Amino acid sequence: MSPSRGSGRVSVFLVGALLQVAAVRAGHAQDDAKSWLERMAHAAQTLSYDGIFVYVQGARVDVMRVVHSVDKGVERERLVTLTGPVREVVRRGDTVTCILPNEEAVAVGTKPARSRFPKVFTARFSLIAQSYEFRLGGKDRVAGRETQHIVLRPKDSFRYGYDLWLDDASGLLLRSQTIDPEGQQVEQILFTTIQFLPSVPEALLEPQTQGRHLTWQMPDAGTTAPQDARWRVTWLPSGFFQTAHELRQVVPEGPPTDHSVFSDGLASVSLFVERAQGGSSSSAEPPHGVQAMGAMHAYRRRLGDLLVTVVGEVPAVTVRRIGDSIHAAGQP
Amino acid sequence: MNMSDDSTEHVSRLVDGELEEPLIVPLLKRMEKEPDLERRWERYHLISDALRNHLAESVDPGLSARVREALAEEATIIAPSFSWRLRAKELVGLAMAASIATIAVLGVYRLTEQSDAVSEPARYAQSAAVVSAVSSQSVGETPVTFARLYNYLIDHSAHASVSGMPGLIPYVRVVGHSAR
Repeated sequence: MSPSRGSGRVSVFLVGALLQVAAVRAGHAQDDAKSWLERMAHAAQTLSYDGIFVYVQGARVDVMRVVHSVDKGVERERLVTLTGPVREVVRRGDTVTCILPNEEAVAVGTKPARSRFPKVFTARFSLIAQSYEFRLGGKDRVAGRETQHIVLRPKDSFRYGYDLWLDDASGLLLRSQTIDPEGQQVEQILFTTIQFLPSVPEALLEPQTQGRHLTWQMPDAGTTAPQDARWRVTWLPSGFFQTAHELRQVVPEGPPTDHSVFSDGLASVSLFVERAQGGSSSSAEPPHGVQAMGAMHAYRRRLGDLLVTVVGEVPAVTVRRIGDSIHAAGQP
Repeated sequence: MNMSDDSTEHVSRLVDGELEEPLIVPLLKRMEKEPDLERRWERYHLISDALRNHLAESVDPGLSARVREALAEEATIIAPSFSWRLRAKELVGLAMAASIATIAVLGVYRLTEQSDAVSEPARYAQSAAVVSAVSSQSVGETPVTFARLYNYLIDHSAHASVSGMPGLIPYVRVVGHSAR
């Protein structure tokens, strides 16, 4: 009968209208979250401040101080541990210096000179939206300041989710939680005090520790090197694309390493491929398998006479699958 | 003490990379809830490093005191199992030591899937000829191993700060993971 058909049509129309309203609402929520993330990226590059924060990985807690300044468009940053051995990272524009205790058995090869620091974060939102849902959470207080909670959740289990708390007044990131696919926190950064400064005294930006200085240039996103024809990656999580590729001398006397970087706009994964030392039957190379370092995972395996290392701030399954997907050229 | 002998044994096997994979995640979950278990895990790592002479005394002057303390506290519980483990592993000891040292340098706090790292040397142990090759080469390789994995992390972090989350998080990881 026509009345029932009519009411059916009405309800279809109503459901359609409701879905539309819901979609528009979701769109608004995403737009709001997006504008906050834009503020966050802008704040990270333009504000001068001096703050102390805790860095939590599992049961381990480190306390660090960060001083950031922007003077005539040049960013400077100093990060120093306040607990445990003194480590510092000092950045001036594109040049980063890592200061480690003298005893540290670390060697870093010469970094290629790059000039431009790409400010591309805001251009990456459509990319991020492919892999993550983002929405506004509630208001909360961090380091005595009002903050806005932003929730970022991955659309699959190959990457982490993030909870971000941004300063209401400035947009600066004051608290960040990294969440694994099981919903467990793997890492947290939480400011306990922060001071915004009109200008930063020079002394606060100078390294205070003696030690070995390792200096390198910030890499330029989108650098390229000729693709090595001996191998190829056959699997990446959806939304990941190559952002850099270069040949690097990771170990001073060692063979050159082919370094590719893949990113989904938030998480990134590095793939290092090099000729294994000691021939194909050697078992002297570092341990194979997955190792965890807080939110970071590393996976190593042999591929013929090549040694493949995958490192990234993604779950263990992701580095393993990427590493296992690498085939020698000419094989399926 | 609120933990069973089982969990103590599991922690010990986790440190040695001998815990079966299905047991690892439940144990890590328990460690999060039980600070005692977590501290035990830390102590076992210290002891394990000390036994393999991989403590960087110069980095942390208080370390040897803490190790003595830990040894005194734990000797009765774990000494027997460590001794058989060392025997069982003497042949591949250096290869294993290399992996443990690598972990120590990177400041790894959670070992999630160690099965590959363990099973490889264990398989080699079946052949004495291969084992001696492993051991002799591991001696030379160990410092390289240290430097290498940390270099990968630094290299990756420099890129992550450009292509990933803006701001300081990638550098926090560089500093945080090595400050151990």
